[in-house]
Amino acid sequence: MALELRDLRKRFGDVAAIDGVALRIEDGEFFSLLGPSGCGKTTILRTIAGIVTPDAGAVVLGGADITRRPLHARDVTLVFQNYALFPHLTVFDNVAFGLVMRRVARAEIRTRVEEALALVRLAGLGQRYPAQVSGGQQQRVALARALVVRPSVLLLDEPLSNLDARLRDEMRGELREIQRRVGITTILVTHDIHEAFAMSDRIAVLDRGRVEQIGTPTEIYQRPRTRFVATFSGQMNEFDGVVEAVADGRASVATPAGRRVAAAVTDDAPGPGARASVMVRPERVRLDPPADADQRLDAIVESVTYLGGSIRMVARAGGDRLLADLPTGDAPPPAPGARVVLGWRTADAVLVAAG
Amino acid sequence: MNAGARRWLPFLLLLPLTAVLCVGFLLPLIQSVENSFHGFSPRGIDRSTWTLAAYTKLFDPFYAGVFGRTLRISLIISAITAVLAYPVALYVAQLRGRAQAFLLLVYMSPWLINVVVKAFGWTLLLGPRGTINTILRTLGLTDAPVPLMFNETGVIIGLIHGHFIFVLLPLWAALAGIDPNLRWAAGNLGARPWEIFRRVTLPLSLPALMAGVIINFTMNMAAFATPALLGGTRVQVVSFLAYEVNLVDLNWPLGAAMSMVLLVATLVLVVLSQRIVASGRRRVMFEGAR
Amino acid sequence: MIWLRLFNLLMAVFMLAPLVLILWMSFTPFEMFRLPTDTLSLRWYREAFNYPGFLNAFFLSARLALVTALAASVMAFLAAYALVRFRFPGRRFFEALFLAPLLVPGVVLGIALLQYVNAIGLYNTFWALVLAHVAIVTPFALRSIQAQIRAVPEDLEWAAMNLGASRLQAMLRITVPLTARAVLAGFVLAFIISFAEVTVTIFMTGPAYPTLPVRIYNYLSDQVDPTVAAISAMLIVLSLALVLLLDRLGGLRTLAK
Ligand SMILES: Nc1ncnc2c1ncn2[C@@H]1O[C@H](COP(=O)(O)OP(=O)(O)OP(=O)(O)O)[C@@H](O)[C@H]1O
Ligand SMILES: [Mg+2]
Repeated sequence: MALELRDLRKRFGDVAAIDGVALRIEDGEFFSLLGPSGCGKTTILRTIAGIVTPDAGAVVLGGADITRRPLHARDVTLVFQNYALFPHLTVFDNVAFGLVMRRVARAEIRTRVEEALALVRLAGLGQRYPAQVSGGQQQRVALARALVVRPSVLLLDEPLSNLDARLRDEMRGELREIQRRVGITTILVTHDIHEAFAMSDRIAVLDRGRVEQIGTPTEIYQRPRTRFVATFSGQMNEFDGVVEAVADGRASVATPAGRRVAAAVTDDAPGPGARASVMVRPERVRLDPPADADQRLDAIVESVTYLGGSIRMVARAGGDRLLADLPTGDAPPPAPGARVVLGWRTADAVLVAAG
Repeated sequence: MNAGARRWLPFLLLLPLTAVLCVGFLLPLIQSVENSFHGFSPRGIDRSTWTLAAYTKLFDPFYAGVFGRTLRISLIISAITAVLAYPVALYVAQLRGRAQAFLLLVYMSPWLINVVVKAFGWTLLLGPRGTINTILRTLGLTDAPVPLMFNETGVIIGLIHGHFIFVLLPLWAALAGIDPNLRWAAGNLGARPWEIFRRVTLPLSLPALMAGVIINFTMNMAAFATPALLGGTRVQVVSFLAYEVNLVDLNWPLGAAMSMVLLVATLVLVVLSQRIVASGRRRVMFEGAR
Repeated sequence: MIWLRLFNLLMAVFMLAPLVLILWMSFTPFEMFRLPTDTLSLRWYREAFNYPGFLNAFFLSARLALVTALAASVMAFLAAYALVRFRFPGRRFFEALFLAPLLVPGVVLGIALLQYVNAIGLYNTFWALVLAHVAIVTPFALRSIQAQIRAVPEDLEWAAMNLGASRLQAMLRITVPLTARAVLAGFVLAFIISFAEVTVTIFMTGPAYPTLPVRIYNYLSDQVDPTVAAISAMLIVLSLALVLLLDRLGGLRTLAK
């Protein structure tokens, strides 16, 4: 079911935990709320679930305003950040809890719980207590418990943050797979960009209670619209300066050191005279650039670090420091002190307003 | 410091307290065990004979009756205390900071004040010419005084008051320790407030309630001054009888036997309550274990 | 919620009623509770001070509590230090021994002590009472002091020893000052408990050493008049003052555990 947040606001004392958030999540969509710690992600989820009452705004589920509906009467289930499994109930009873509350017939409860446990690959563990299963298994119990009632919307609050790196990778895949199979509208809260990228149809990047940008993972990563989104979503090379000219979807920026760099822009980009930055991802920077890489500069290698899948080169070009992630090839990379030419395509650079 | 010194230093530090507790605690109890198996003659304890007479005497109807009454009163007190303490704990647990500390102090205050003083306070309230009866008479609700004292009612009221904290404290700690997410999770899955209480809050606090009730019960069984002053001679309980046996009849073997029965019963219950709390803790604390 | 609050108010009244009534009665001139209640007097305070038994008993109780608290807090500190800082055979036995009096009902200990002090010829002496009271208060003092010693990182002592202090000097110059508040809290707690102790004392006290609670108990067994109210009122105020002091020292929190 589609879910809409209309200008949601919530203050705790003088902290604006949610500061005017408006979103629309489509039916069946996997949507992520991405942002740094304390930006209000949990508060948004809790508002949707009815644990937190907003100061203003509305939560609209499938066209009905549920802002004032009590916690237990919303058809929205939450997988808590710490799972909140009932320690005194078995895994089976935990999963059955929502069905019992919905007065589902006993026989049906049995089959549905068994199904849900099988779906999260926990068949056979039903008689254990939460304390007797591993962290990854607890996470799947929490997921099964939320899924089994077939809610309109599934809310996930950093459900993978307590897991080790390998289990987390596996669970990402499983979670996305289960969501596709069940076809349920899902909102995932995370501060991990890789998690958001790997799982989401669309992402909303949040900062201090506000939505900075909404878009597909590709849009967020390749066309960030604000400095915050650009730097939060990964490493960036930055050239700060003043916009000189905008023409043909291209803007050029002059840095104080007298360098000129260009970026591809859309219509709402900062105009001439505005302070802005050109940004380019390290992996878009090439060594000995091919002809289509029209932005070029001469640089001196400072350090080269082997990272396994790639090589991180730090180089200096006049006053600018540049990061370049180069593919690991057969040829040895240039040594520190070597003079090199680095370059990238204008289309790979973005322009964001300063500050 | 050399290694030899390090080996005996801890024992040196422990020596004074150990010595005092040996004389003031351990040896007296051991002697009690011994005395309970000695014979008794009108001239006093007879250390030359060994017998089970004291224990068999506890089975005769009079002594068994006093044990029975003490047991019954103690159970009633514990049951009422549990029912009263639960809502109090629920309320105190959801308070914050100063308000919570203040209320805890209020509930703890009877325990920190002399038993005799408390009993006197209850005498003033419950006596035939006490506050409650005076008010009832002034309001014209009764002619004759309502007997609230020198009967089981008085003992029960006094001990509910005196031993309330032993149920309240563990219960409060358990309720305050329940992760609020668990209640929200239940609500999120469709449980109404009453269902949340019945299926989450209550079961998670039950071990603490049980443990508190058991401690409360052992305190009730052994209470002395409160039943003596509020129950009078008509409501004889074990400890009061033990006082008479030891200090009036000077029948030490019998007195020792009575105290041994009380001690063993208490220890069994205490161990039981610790088992219950430990098992409850293991379940509630699983989040910390991850 | 409103019902819970109301119920709580009622229970708080129940908890405080006898205490408040004692305070009130101690300031009225009447033998029994009366309505309306509008006359105040210090009559019962005068009687309490004129009744020699109570004053003597008060001083005896104070002396007993003081000696008990002093002995118990010092010995408990030494013992707690050994228990926290050293690993040695029998450690758990000693800890169990020190905490055991908590598990033994007062009547049981009272009977045992009565028979024992008689057997060793200490019956009807001050030191027999001290012995009993130290046993009773030790678990409380020990627990609060132990918790505080645990909170002082052992590294501080190692640092002192690394700079040339002996183990004893490290204890005296580092751990003692850092745990002084807890020891003081243990002292106050021991004092409060000893001062209020009735059950054990009543069994083993001889005619020469009736403590104040025992005196009140004996008095109340015969008659009930507000002389006791005046004394009780003073005791309540004293207890509350000591409890607040204890709270200030942080001792009430360790008690709640
Ligand atoms: N109950 C509360 N009382 C007071 N302040 C709160 C409360 N809940 C949240 N806040 C504040 O609101 C802001 C947003 O909190 P929230 O928990 O939503 O952040 P988050 O994005 O989920 O962070 P994290 O990634 O660390 O979980 C924070 O500044 C937080 O301190
Ligand atoms: Mg959060």
